[in-house]
This record gives sequence, C-alpha cells and structure tokens, in this order.
Amino acid sequence: MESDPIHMASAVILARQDQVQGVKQSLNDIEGVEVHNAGDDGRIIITVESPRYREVADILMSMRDIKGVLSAELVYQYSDGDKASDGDKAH
Amino acid sequence: MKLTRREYIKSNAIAAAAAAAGITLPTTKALAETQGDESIRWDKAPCRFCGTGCSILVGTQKGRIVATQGDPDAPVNKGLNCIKGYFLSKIPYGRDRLTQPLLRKSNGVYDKEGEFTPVSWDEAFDIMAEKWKEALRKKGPTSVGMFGSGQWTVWEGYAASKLYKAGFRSNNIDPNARHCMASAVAGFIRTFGIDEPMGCYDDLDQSDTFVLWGSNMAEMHPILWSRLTNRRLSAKHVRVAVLSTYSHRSCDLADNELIFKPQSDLAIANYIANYIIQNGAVNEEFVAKHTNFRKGVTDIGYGLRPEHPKEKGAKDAGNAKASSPIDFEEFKAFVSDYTVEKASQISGVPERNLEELAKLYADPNRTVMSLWTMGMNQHTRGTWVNNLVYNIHLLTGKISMPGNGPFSLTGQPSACGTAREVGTFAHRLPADLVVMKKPHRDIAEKRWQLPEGTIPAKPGYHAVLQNRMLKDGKLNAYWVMCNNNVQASANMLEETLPGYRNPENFIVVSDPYPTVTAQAADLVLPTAMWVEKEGAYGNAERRTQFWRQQISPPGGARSDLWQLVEFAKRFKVEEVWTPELIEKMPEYKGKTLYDILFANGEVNKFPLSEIQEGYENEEAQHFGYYIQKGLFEEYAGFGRGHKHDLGDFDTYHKVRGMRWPVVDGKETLWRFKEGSDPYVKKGAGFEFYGKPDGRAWIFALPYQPPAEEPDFEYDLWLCTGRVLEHWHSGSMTQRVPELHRAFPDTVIYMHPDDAKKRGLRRGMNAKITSRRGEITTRIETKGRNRPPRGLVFVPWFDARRLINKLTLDATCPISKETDFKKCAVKISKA
Amino acid sequence: MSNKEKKGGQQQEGITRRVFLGETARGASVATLVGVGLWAKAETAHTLPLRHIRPPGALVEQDFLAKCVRCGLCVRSCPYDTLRLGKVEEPGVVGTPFFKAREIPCEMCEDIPCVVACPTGALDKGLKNIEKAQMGLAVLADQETCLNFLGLRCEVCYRVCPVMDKAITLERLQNKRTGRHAMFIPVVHSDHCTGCGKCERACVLTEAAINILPIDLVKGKMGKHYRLGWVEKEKKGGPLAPNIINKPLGQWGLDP
Repeated sequence: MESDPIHMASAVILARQDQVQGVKQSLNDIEGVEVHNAGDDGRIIITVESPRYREVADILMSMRDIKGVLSAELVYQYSDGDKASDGDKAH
Repeated sequence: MKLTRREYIKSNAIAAAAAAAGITLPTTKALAETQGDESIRWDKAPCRFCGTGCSILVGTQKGRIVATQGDPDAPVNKGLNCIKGYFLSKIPYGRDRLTQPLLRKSNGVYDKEGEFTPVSWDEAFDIMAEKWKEALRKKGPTSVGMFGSGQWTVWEGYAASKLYKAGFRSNNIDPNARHCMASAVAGFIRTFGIDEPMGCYDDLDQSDTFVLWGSNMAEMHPILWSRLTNRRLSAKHVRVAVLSTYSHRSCDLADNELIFKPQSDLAIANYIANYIIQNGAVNEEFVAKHTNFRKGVTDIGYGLRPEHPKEKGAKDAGNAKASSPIDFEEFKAFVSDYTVEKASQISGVPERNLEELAKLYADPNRTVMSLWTMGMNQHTRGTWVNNLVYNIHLLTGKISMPGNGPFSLTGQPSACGTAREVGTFAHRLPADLVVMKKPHRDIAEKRWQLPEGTIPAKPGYHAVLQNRMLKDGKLNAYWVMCNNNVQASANMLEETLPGYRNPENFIVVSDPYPTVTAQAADLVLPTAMWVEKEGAYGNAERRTQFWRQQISPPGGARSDLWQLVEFAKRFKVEEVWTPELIEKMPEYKGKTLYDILFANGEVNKFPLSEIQEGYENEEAQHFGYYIQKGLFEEYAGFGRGHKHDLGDFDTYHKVRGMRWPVVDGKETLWRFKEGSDPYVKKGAGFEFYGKPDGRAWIFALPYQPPAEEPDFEYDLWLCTGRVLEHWHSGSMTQRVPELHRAFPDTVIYMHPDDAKKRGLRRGMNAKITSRRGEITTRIETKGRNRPPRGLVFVPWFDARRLINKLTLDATCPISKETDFKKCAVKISKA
Repeated sequence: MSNKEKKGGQQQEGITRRVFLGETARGASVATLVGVGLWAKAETAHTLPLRHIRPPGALVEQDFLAKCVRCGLCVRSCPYDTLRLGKVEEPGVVGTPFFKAREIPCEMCEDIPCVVACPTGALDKGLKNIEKAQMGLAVLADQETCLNFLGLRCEVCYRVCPVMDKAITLERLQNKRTGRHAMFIPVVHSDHCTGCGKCERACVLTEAAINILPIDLVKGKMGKHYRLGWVEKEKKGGPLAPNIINKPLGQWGLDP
C-alpha cells in the first residue's frame, strides 16, 4: 500500500544572537515547522514538513522575512509522490 | 527502537542540517555511560557460575550492579573471565525475575491444579507448614525432603542440613551435586578416606603432562584451560592427552586424542596400570609404604528401580561398596588381563595411542596431572573409574606434589564448599562425617546441642531416589532450592515430573526465576541470588571465598538462608520430635525449631555491630544478629583440628580466599605430603590420613558394559553436556540476551555420515527419540563438537527442548550419580 | 583468494552519474542537494551501504543491479527470513535483496534456495556449493574491545562459524599480562570465509568487534614480484632450487 507522500526539508537558520529566542518562537508558530536545535551563537536547525511539495518551498522562502533572521540555508530536501520528480524517473 | 518512515526521513534531515551547521546534537550515549564512574563502589565476590571460582570485582551504584570486572590481583583468574563471567552484571536483572511467592490456587484456596496466584510470605509459609506437619504426622520424617544445591552459600547449605537432619530428623536432603560430583566424592572417600583433591590450580602451571579423562575443559573450565594451554605453549616437553567419546574443543590442543567407545575408560585405565607393572614403572617404595590393595565386589547393578531386570539378578547391589584385601601379586594378575590388544578392542582406540598414553604415566621423569569432570563422574561405574585413575597415580607415586596428581574439576561454584564440605548429602554430615556412624552422629549432636539419637542413622533418599519416592507417594512434602531439577534430572517425564504432579505431594521451589522446575511446583518462592546476600563459596582447589551483600534483592525476594531459618519458626518441637527424644532435653519443651537450631547461643552470638559498616545484610537485620558468622563459626568447629580446618570468618572477608586445611593462618596447597601438609607426621613422607593406617587403597575393578547400549532400533549413543556460553540449565545465562544470541537453541551434534544415512542435512530439524521420550531440534554436523559415527551429543541448557526426557536414570550404584552420558536413541526427519 | 570468481564482491565504483540521477529521482530531490553542495555525501549514501550484504552468488554490484528485477523471489525462498527487500527510505537498496548480518545472518543452506529462485542470474547459478560463496569477508576489526585479545575466554565467533577451523581458526598466544594464561585469538581466513555473518551476529559486545565487510574494501593484494618461499616450496613438494645445500657449521654452529 502506498503511504501518503512526504515532503520534508531541513534548513540552518542564522539569527542575530540577541534575538534567537524570538526567532525560535516565530519559527515554531509556522505550521509544519519544527525547531530542533537553537545554539546560543544564533544557529538554528529546523525541519519543514508539508503534504504539498510547493508549500515547503514557500515556507522556506518566507523565513527570510522573519525579524532577526540573517540567513536561511536549505540543507536537505526529501520528496516523494509524482510532483516531486517531474518526469525525471528512470524506470 | 523502530522508526516510522516519516521519523526516519526527519532524523536524516536533522542530521544533515546539523552536519552542515557544525552543530553537535545532544550528548552521545557513550559519554553519558561513563559519567559518574567515580561513585561506583567496587568489592569482591566469586563468579556465580562454575567451580573454577574466578574472583570478580562487583561495581555497584545506587543499589544496582552497574559493572563487573575480573579481579586483576586474584590468583585464580588474574582479572580474566569467560564469556559468562563477562555478563555477570546482567544475571540479576532478567525481566521475569520472581518478586513474590506464587501459590497454585482455585477460588482463593490452594489447589494443586490451580493457577499460580501471588500470596504473602506469611500465607506461603502457612500452607507449607501445614503440609509439612501433615506429612510428618501421617508418615513420619521420611515423608519430608529437600533437594539442595552446590550453588548454595556455605551457610545456606549448613542451615538446610541442620534443619532437616536435626530439626525434621529426616536425612532426605541431597544436593544437585549428586548429579555432578558424587562419583568423585565416593572415589576419593573409597581410595583416600577423605574427600576432595590433594593438589591445587598451581599444578596447572607446573605439570609436564595433562590427561583429560572425560572433561571438555576448553569450554567448561575456560580460565583453567587457558592456564593449562599457557603451560603447554611455554614448555616444549609438555604433553596433553585427551580421552573422550567424541571430539571437542579440548582436542585441539591434544598431542594424543583418544576417542573411546562409551564406558571403555575402565578398560583403558586398567591397561595403563598393567603397562606400568609390566614395564617396571611401579614406584615400589611408595607402593610398599603408602598403599593397600583391595578387590571390590562387581555384581552391583545399575542403580535402576529394583524391579528392573538389570537389578533383579545383581547380588551385590545392596552392598556395592564392599571390597576385600588382596596383595600386589593378585592385583598384578587381575590387571594383566588388560593387554593393549584387549584395551584397544574394547575401546576402539588404536593401540599406538593407548601405548603413548601409558608411557606418559610410566615415565619416571615426568609429572602427570589427570583431570576430569562429568565424563568420569556421570557414569554407571563412576566410582570405579575414579578409583582406577587413582590407581595409576598411586602405582607411580605421582601424587600430592607440584604438577603431580589426580584432580577432579567441579561444575558448580560451591560443590566443594557447600555440598561436599558442609555435607548436604543424604548420608553426610559436616567435615566428612556420615550419619551411618554413631560416633559421627554423636559429634554432630553434641556440637548442635541436641539430645542423643536426634539424627537418624539411615541415609536418606539420594537425588534419583527422591524422584522415585515422590512418584511413589512416599515423599510428600518437598522443597527444591537453588537448582532446576526437573530440567536437570534424567528420564524426567517418567521419573521426575510425575512425582512433582503427584496429588499426594506438595512441592515448593525457591528460585530467582520461573524455571521449568518452578513451573512444575505448587508453591514458588522468590529468591535472592548471588550478591543480593552475604555468601561464601568453596571452589575446586579447596579455596573458600567470601563476599558481602552488594545489592538488595528485588521486591519480596528473600535469600535461601532467610527462607530456611524463618521456616524453622513455624514448628514447635512437639510437632516434629517424639516425646521420648524431647524428654532427654526437657529444656527444649515448648520451643520452636528456630530456637533450638539457630537461636542456640552459638549461631546467634555475634552482634549486628560486627557487620562491616556501609553494607546491607538483610538476613542479619531481620534476625537481629550476624547469622552468617554464627552459622559459619559453628560449622567450622566441625573441621578445625580434624583435617578440615577453615580460617576465621573475618579473615575470609579480607583475603582472596584460602585453601583448606588452614592451619595457623596458612593454607595448604598439596595435601598428604610431608612439608606441604601440616597433618602429615614428620618422617612419614606421605600420609593418606583419611585411612586409619595412612595408606591409600588401590582397587582391582573390571570393565563392565553400560546399562543401555545402542541396538537395531535405537542405534545411536546419546551423550549430553554443556557449552561454554550457557551454564547448566541456562536459567541465568539464557536470560542474558547476548549469550542467548550466541547459542539460542540446543542442537544435535552428529557425524555427517550418520546424518546422510538418515536423509538429514546440517540445519534440518530432526526428531531424536529414546525409549523414554523425544525432542525435535536442528542437526549440526560441522560445529564445535565432532562425534564419531554412532554417537550424538546434545547440550541440555535449552528449557524449550528438554533432552532429559530421553536420558536414562541409571546411576553408579556406589555414588548414586546418574549417567547422563550414555543411553540409546534413534534419529529421524522431523 | 583461491576462488577467483569474486562472487558477491561489492564493487562500489563505476556507477555512472546517469544511473545515479535516474535512481535518485524516487528519493531526495537532486537539484536542491546540488544547491547546498551535498552531492558527494549523497553519492556515498547511495551505493550499497557497507553493512548491507547481498545474497550468496550476487554479481558485482553494478552487474547485480543491472540484472536484478526486484522480483523478491529470493526473499520468498529464504527459509530463515534472512533476506529482505530494500524499502523506499533505504537508499542504495530500494527494491533489491540484502541482509544485515547483525540482525539475521545467512544460514548457508546447502541447496542455496535463493540462488535457485533467482530468475535473471543476478544471483549466479554457477554457485553450487554454498561454502564457495563470498558474500563478504569477516574482519575482526577492533582488537581493543575484542574479549579474546583481552585474554577473556569468549571465542563465540569461532564456535558459531559454520566453516569452523577453516574460515576462523584460533591462534594460541601467551597472555603476557597475567603470565599464566593463554589467549585464544580468532583469525579469519578469506579463502574459506563466506561472509555469512554468523560471527557478527553472535559477537557478544554491544557493538560487534567482528564485522562482515565488502571483500574489496578489506582484502589486500600482494605484488606479483614477490612469492612466499615456504608456500612455493610446499606447492612444489621440494626446494625450488634443489642444488643448493646448507654447509654443516661444524662444532660452533647449530644444525640447519
């Protein structure tokens, strides 16, 4: 049986050191985002999960707009389901 | 831990991000594990498993064993352990540890066919006392009994023996060491008049020659084997000979491997004696000064039930120990029959190998150590073959000196210290005293402050007889403690289980775990194990080793000692002794067995203040005095000054064990030799002081066939035994996941040709059947044991496949030890 | 290695980028990975993971992948549930058969049902004797934690070995620390080890000290320019240059 498609990404967010807590809070408020580690030096590890592929990308893009975020680097993305590969299938 | 697919993807995502960012995620497990090591308390204890007696340091923290290590300064093991010892810290923590008494009940009351139901200790002892009293009232003391253990601590064995022999006035107490060491005991007593080996482990570092007579030391005594191997590696002239009925791991080191037909070790030993005489290798001076010659009776049967055809005609069965004096010439004539041709024909061993072995013993410039375990002891002529091996050492005078001597290895941690030295056998009392002799009973009664005639003169039921008497309804109230006899005893379906389930009987089993035996019981008592109590064990080289209580037992589990002594409170002396006996000591009127046996001014004379500060001692706290010390000191009084001297209690807690006799604080390494044994008279050279004239006996005893042999239908020999990974019935080692994984299920070790002939291949399931029962398990043709054609070997640790359904309950008529090594079976596709 | 068939040796090189791209399409999105420079990481992760062992008779990895049709017949034929098919979240093995020695090792069936069941020859039908299989090679990798090297009496790996005394033997050494005990050191012999994984499975340590690894990863190879004198002599049954003699050394020397 085919299970529901999973679209997941992880990213490293660099926040201003004095605003880490606030950024963390804002990130947590976004649906599908989970904060896994927030270092005192401002680096935050998050995962983004959504049933729709496009939404993951949108969420990631929107992070740059959060106050105190200096950068958001996508590290890993996993997608399955048809929309992920757009005809790139081998077999 | 099982991850869902989603969790798996997520964890990968997090890890990748963390790696990219250079962030370390929360502390690793390895780091967490080593934190707080400095607060571990380390203290000594002997290993819980075999008779080697490796010394362990037990690490406890917050009431739990967190680690163990071999004691690097212990003379026995120098910090080493075998794979079982490596996992000692796990054995108390099996998930199915018993923590409360369980009584079979239906509708809230005891019912033999009921379900196990948790009850309080009070309720457990109530029903037990009721059943014991009922049995005593109806049939007298012979209807109560106990099956004990070579894994009991010294004081547990002593308390049990005293409770039965003096309290209940029943000699029906026997240890599982009956299955294990009884033939060695009977052999030592018969030849030397005193039990236990004369030498010690130091012999292993010094001997020129090692002969294994039915022992797979490589697996069963791993640390001693590494010591023997080191000796072989370090000196080129050292030779190793291995006698066995199948090829095993010890054969790897053998310069001479002798695979003999089952039972023919008797013929081989007699041939060697003959060779020694024929080749002028007799140490004539030694023989003349220190030995006597005897001829034993021979029509002794096989220890089966009296109505068995093999017993009916056996005229000496009732008097199997008897012998009469002969002289050297008669002995010489007797063994002259055992020529190399005849020995080879009986044993199937090539003449060349036999001669090579005989030459090792005969060479006057060579020291020789003979070693054995169950191959010689579990034998319907076990006592004989022990005697015959002593013959060889006595004829050549190769005994009681460094590197020279016969050495029986023990399988249990305190087979020597408890079963043998305390005398928990049906015929024994402490320090080699026996119930049959009035002067011996007098000594015990005096020391125990009992009226004359308290201890019955007739030996009680030995292990195999206990099972038969349970089945026959003559033994009705029965306590099994610290052993797993339903799994361990031969012919268990016909002769063991029926007695346990006999409606006339009430069976109590004390164990830390729900063993096969516990499941066959009516009442199960949860028991504290190993370092959950203060204890003492005695290993194979006469070394007594103590330990303190390191952790508390779980839940309501209580030590065997607590159970035995507490149970004694349930009996008023009037309920167990005859009025005539009480009349001899009227001061005991109205007292309990506890008052008479334990609160007797001796056992209770050491105050709690003598317990080492910082250690629990739950039994002592409960009874209000240092009970272990009281029991030990009372017990040690039997042997001190009588060639069985033990040191004092407090010293044992400080040292890494001492080898008895301990005289003037010094241990004895080689007994019976002037200079090393303080009991040998000056100028005697040697003195076998167990015998009145100081002379050991050389026995003329023949080869005789076993009780059952393969025939047309049951065409294979079955031999049972152990493996390195598991200890005995596996009740502890099978609960260590790593050991279980290393050897999960028993297998049938078989010659590939025998397998092929039956359409079987390695790995296939096969049915193995004897006249008594069958099991199904996998065939192994390539493993660690390589039987010759016609013989299969099956380890007995597996509780799910009980090989003792198949074995025959034939015993050595002298030692009463079962022969687990020989019966006839057939094997077919499952 | 006497057996030059190299059955089941896991070749890790040579996976072309095209194949890789195609395979990966079902998994992580390649483009984003490239974007953050994790390409190299992904590539290693995608080849057969080190601890995944192919069934007996498996061809070298790229040939195996080319021939294996992911039908699962070998898995179904395995009587011991040793083999399984890679799931989607298991990169590198998706849909293909493998086993993990520490979980369920190969029982080395004499009739090799998995090879018999294979419809494509991804598992080589030429493998008739299971003792000739080379699924991998046991390596006693960690001598610091191996109990035998510490002098303890374990040798569990040796005793569980189905090709005992050939694939693993015990070498006896003296324990210099205690001065009175011997050590029994397991030694793996690559010409007999089938890589069944029984030893890794049974190792009693928390993490196994003996592991099954791809043969090409662990096996060294001697240069052809050097021969072992004692081996050559035994092979020939006598000296290779028979005319050379040892001159007796006289009274001060030792006999040769």
